[in-house]
Amino acid sequence: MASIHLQNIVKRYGAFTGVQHMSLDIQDEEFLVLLGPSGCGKTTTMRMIAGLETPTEGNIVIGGEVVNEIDARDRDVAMVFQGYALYPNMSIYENIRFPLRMRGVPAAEHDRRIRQAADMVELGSFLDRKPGALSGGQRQRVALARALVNEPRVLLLDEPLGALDLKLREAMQDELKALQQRLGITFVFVTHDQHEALSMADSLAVFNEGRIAQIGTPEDIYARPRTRFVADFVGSSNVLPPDVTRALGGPAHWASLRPESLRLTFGGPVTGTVTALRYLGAGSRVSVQIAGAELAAFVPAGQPLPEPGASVGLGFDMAALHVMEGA
Amino acid sequence: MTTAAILPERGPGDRLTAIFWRHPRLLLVLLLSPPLIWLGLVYLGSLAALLLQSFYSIDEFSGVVKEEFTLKTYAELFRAQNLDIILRTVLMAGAVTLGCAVIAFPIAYFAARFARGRWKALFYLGVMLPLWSSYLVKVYAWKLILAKEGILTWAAEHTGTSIILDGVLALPGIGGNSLSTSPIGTFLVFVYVWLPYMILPMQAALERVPVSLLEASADLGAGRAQTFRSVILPLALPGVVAGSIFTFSLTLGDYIIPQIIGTSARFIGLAVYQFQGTAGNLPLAAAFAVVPIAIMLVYLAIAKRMGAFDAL
Amino acid sequence: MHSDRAPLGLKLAAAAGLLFLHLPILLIFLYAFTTEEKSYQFPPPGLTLKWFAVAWHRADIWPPLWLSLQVATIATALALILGTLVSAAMAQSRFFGREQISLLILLPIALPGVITGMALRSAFSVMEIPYSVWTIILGHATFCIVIVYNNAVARFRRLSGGILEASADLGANSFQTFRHVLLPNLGSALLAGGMLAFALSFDEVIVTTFTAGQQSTLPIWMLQELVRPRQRPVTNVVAIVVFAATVLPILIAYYLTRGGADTAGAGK
Repeated sequence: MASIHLQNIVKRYGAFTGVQHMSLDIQDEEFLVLLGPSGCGKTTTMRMIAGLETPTEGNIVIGGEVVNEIDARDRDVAMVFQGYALYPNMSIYENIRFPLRMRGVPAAEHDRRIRQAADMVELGSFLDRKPGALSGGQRQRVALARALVNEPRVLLLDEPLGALDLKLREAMQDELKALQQRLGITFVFVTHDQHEALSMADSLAVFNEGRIAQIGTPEDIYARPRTRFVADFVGSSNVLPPDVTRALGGPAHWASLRPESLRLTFGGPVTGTVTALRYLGAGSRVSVQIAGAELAAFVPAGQPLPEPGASVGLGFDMAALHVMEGA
Repeated sequence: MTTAAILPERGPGDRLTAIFWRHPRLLLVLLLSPPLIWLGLVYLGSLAALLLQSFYSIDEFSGVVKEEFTLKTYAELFRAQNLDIILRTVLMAGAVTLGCAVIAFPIAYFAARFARGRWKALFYLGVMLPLWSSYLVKVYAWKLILAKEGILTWAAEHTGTSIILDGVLALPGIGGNSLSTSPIGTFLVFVYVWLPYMILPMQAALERVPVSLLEASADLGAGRAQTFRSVILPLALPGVVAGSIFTFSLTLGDYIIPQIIGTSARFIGLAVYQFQGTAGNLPLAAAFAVVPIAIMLVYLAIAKRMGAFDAL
Repeated sequence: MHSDRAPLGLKLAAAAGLLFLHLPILLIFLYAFTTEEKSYQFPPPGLTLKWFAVAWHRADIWPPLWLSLQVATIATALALILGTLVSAAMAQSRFFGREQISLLILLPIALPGVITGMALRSAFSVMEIPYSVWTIILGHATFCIVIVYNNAVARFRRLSGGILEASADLGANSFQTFRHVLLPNLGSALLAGGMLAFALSFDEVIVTTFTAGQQSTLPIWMLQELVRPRQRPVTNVVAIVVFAATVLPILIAYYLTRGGADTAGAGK
């Protein structure tokens, strides 16, 4: 269907630079997640792909064609908006039909395609209601069906699950992932939720201050963060300054050590004092003060916990100590 | 799955859309220019003409407007009889504003704090209808009420309160032959006509006061009177000030009410009306019309300091 | 203060306030049926229906009524166009001078009518424009813009920000977006704004006296009758007509927009 290439994109708003010299290649049929804190440029990047914003510099290539000068409506890219942007005056049926009418799809085909799209998101029985009569999760599905009814090459989703409660969110995450695999459409998904990003992405781009801090598979990014920002933002991590890394047996460089890689031991190689305990359900998080840093260790439920103030040792595999190239 | 999207024929609408797309400011300019040209030309242009006119003067012998810049007309405002008019109007506007604030408070407070559902809608309509319904009809209604042979006199006779009514009418300065020809009558009608303008901003200000604030005050041991004085009143004040901008400004400029109800003493609005009409002195009328603007500018500056605009 | 029930004194004061706002209007209705035509005697010595017939046959009422309808219709149409345009621009984007423009829209209704009227009068005099239906309309359309604007801009605010972008994304051009998305969603707010503008224009007297010259609108006719009464109950009959012509549109406007943060009429 379509691969997307962003080539050296810059987006400025007056004196403020929203996106700085960004290049990004999205493979055909890939599920790419753009992850980052608010204001990092991820939504702007998506809106430029949709054609709702024009880049100040650089090219956007979709399916081998430079689309900078092509309107949003002609890009064959569909978007699911953050607030869903359903038309309150139209029924669900009419909402899904809207793109078909606008794109001049022969009227004889409408009904079949609307029902097909609605069935795909299991909305078949709600077609004659108005959006106001639906729950958040159902509206989400309508927005999805409306975006997909025209069989776009690329589907963009802007924090689509942000308004849903946790249970519904997780169910929708599974559904979206399954849908993408079934349809074979390129999905670009924006979120600031790291769990969502890790669980859904084929490929994950972590944004920070208008740049891509790191891009790779979720496993890669979790295990081998390239910068302190990535280590900190994706999952929780002990980010170690160079002297502490060396004290733990590594090179004099910034490093990341995940709490679940640390075990409590009796004596050596490193010892420290327990400063705090936090119960997390599946286990507990134990904060240990060692020379020069405070480290968090994850202790699975069922294992004995030390008292605050107790002296404990910390053990780990050297392989888990990930030395970062960036600062 | 089909590949390319099906796009309809390109029409002029599509081509224009493409132009708007590439130049988003163009659409903005197209949308804004007709209303801005209208308001700029018709309204600001007229205000400029008003200012211009006020710097002209009238030839005392021929009665013709001399189109030369002069401050003579403004100097005329400071004649004793004209200063009288201005002072009388400002006093009336102040009194009307106070009167409105006192009557509006219980309505606004009840509607904001206690009215729910149906009652809320009823209060809303109850204020909105008088606000929007015909100004002239409202004034006329009061002419019927205040007339010497009208319902108030009748009610006073039948309840044995004629003494009070006569006593009020005998008051020097504000009394008169009947209510409809006394300054009290003018005041009453002004209060009535502008009251909704006070209720609405007051209610809006009170609705922003969280109930928990009042409860906290009661919880901390404050009595009703104390809660009212030290919590509700200060919080309602921005609304009162916002409402007073309307009541004050509208009273300053009105010329119908003093013409129909009250003594024939002149107010600013009436002076403007008479100078431009029967007297044919356009420059003086224009200068008089600038007075409420000047007073309101001072008033707005004070109101702004008190944070009244957050409640608009 | 602690309880959710209002103190009795407050209830009574609020009720008395509301009655104060509404009772006087009822008298207008009563006096339209009185047999006494020279004074406002209360209670009316007798009741009759004849004034409605008299008013119907009075030739001096019809031309002002016709003029008022004409002015209100054209002024409302102009205000609808101008108010919708400016609200679309204001809702669409932030730009330099936005605050100043919203002040400019508000000014004609925020300043006392006598100033707007006198300003227009000065302009006509300076530019030597003769009085006509259009001089009246000029003034009315100017202060009606804000009414339409208030209603439309509130609706724009309530519409989810993405729906216009979504429509471009789904393949609609600007005109299709206007017709299929914007107009249906804005429609009732515009209708409400138009109703209120009509009511305001139909009843306006302060600005009109400065812009009408020798012409009479219905409110000007009423004003003349108030200053120099002839058959008083006839004036009441006309007052009822004017009252109905303002109140019915307001009720319709309220019905069209109720239940939202943008309920019509919140700012006049």
